[in-house]
Amino acid sequence: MFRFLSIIVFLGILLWVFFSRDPRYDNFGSWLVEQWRLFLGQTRAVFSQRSFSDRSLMRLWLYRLGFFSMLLLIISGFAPVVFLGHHLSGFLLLVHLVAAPIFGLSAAFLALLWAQRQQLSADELFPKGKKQRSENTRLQFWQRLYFWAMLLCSIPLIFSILISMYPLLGTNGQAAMLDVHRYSSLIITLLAFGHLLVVSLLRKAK
Amino acid sequence: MNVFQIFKILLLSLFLALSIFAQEEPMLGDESDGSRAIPVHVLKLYDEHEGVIRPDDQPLLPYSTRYTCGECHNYDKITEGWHFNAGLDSIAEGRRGQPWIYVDWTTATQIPLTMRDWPGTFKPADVGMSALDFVSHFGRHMPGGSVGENETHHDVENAMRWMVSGALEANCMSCHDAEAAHDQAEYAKQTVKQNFRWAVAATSGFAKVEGSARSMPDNYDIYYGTDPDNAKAIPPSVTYDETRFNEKNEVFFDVVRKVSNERCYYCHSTKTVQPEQERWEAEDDVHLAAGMMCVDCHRNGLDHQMIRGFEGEAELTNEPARAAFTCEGCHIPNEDGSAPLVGRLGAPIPAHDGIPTIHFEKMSCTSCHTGSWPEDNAPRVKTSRAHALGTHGVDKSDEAMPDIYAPVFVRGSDGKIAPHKLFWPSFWGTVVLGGDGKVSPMPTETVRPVIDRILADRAAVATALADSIARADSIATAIADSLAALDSLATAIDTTEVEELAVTPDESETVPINKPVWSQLDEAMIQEVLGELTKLDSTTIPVFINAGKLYRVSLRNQLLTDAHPAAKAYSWAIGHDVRPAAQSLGVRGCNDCHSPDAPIYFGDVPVSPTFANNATNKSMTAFNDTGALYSRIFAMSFYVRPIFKWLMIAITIILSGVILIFVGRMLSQLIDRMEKD
Repeated sequence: MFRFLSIIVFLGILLWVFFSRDPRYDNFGSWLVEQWRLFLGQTRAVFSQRSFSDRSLMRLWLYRLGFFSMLLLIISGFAPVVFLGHHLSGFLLLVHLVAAPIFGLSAAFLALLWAQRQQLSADELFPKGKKQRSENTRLQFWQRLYFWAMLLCSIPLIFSILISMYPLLGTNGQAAMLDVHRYSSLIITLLAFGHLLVVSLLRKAK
Repeated sequence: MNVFQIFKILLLSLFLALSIFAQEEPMLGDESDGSRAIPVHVLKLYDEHEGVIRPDDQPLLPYSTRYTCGECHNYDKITEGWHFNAGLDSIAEGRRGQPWIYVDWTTATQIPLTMRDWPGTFKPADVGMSALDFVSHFGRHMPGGSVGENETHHDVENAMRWMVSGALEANCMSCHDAEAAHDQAEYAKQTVKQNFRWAVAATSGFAKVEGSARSMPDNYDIYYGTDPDNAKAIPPSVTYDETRFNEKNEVFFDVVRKVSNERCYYCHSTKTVQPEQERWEAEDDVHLAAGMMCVDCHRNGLDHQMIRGFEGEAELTNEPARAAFTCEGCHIPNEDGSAPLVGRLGAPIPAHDGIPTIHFEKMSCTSCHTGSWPEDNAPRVKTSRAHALGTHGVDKSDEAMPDIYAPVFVRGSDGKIAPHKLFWPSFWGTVVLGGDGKVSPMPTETVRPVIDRILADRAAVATALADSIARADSIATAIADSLAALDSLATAIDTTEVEELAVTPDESETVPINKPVWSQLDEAMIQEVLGELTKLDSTTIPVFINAGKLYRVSLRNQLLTDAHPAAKAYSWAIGHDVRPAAQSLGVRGCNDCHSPDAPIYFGDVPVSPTFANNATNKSMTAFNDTGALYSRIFAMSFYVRPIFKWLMIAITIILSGVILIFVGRMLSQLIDRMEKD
């Protein structure tokens, strides 16, 4: 079931990326490279805001570290499931093990350093009446929402594997924790993709 | 009704009549009336010609199980069962198991033989062994039937010998006889003497067999008595305890349906020899210690297709019911099926607390629960069938060949790591020039004369050398005597003490005791033998398989070694002895397996027997395909695991804290807004 869902999710993402490409680019590869370059530039813009302080530089690098470690986790975690139908093992497991604490630390520090700026107000979440919001404001709201959703999903993702490492749960409990970990990771993958999308749209909106 | 319709009805009737006749009528003992009591077996004895045996018959013939047991049980059906069906074409080979291991010291041979088509094994004929030789050699632990009885395996050259020895019928009594006087070792003695016809009777508590069919000539007639050409040779004969016959010439057989464990142990014992273990130190399988019997799990019906009890047996045999008799079948709850089978015979359901589920995908249950606790060096073991345990005059030394190690953790054909018994084939063979590179074993009878000749030449050279040394010694003694005389003269003059030089043996030259060697072999010898064998056949390349390598000589007569599939170790999965849960791998934590010196991954498996100075070890990772580098890095990762856990706890607390704070803030905003409203 999980394999099937994973394949659907990744196929969906791939198809969406393929069909949303800019028609001005003949070559799909060069379009992807350009998007990547834009993404990096945008993250710099997101973090620098008006002035580019030491703290915002730290946030930028934490963000990038978190992003790359998450990419490694997604590749190492999903590749054996999607392509082979196996659970994670071997050298990919080692890659996963190395990337996991980097991702966890980045997430924790980003939460501490960026949460204030990503705060959602009650008015944003539950607006009174129909307010006309600009495209940029709307996208920024979504960016913040993705931030909090990813943080929220990180807790079961990490906690499930933490619990599995202690002799607390039997086979059924272990299987349940594994499922929690896998489905949380699938949701985080979707959220990460949504986040990327918003970032790229923000770039366009500017 | 037309002619065509009448013809159709006639044809249908004929078909029905044929199918009714074709249905096998169950025999008296094959159909249960539902009683769980054991029927008393007071039986007439029948000989191989289906004649009733009376104690005053002259000559007395041994009783035949085919006709005595077969009077009430379907003998032909039973002998298609697992224990008897090796070599039957209609039978599937089943999972790879323990082969017969033929050992020949002179030719440094240790080769797996079987009548089953298991990969890595050879047929007896491949090493020049006739069916008669095979049964004479290994019949000691055969349950009869199969090659011992099936004439399609008997070669024409030995047809007369088979007439003398008779067939080795299935020995029903080797399992089902509960009589304390039953002597299975006697069966071994009789098969060596080629008294196949008499072997079953010899094991019973009411018959005694003397003489030897092997020493009788080809034209010997069992009804004739002594051999006229060799009056000293004792012909095979049987005598019965007349007191055991009743007035109807019937004998009581103490037969049981549930075979005792000791009967199984005759053929299925394993002894760990290194590290040395006293008998009282060994533990029983936890199931047996709990009062179970082997046959509680290894069940069978009339067809005697024993449940072997390994995972995947149900799929392999296409008999789903077998799945219920695996470890998982009894111990792990399964929601499939109409009635729960788990917990049968009080089987406990394991908690497996903290064991990630991937372990159950990558490893068999036996990995953690079976065999002796893994050690840095895989222990050397002896088994009943490989080392003739339980027979008279058996070599009880720890160095007795073949050289088998267990537990060795090998990845099986199902992709799971499981403990195995393992040994390294060693034999002389040939590779056809321009062929597919497959190694065919060479009959030992071809190699032995060559080795004998070379050994004799070496012995002659050694004798000549010894003579020369002896002569030199006598001269040296004369000189020494003269010097001693001079010394005593000098001592008298000067009383200075002379220190003697202490000569200590070079310890590096001693052979490790757990690595037996083919003492007659060395590289020069292999080269010489291969050189001699090359002269025998120009269409093949002679090779020597030993200790995981293939040896051959180049055109320049240099000894070369290659890796070759034929040189790979032969291994078979083990299911027993099962240790209690408290002694299972992992009970002390992950480090039982995931540490840089954990024997399950980094234990050494000796590559032996080989010739002196060639002994090596192989890491367990070579057999379980985990890769040495990966296993080591993964094991090292467990050093940082505690830090990793604390880090994760800290991260979870931080993330939860941040989320709670900001959710709190938002709630407070909402409450404020509600108040304002």
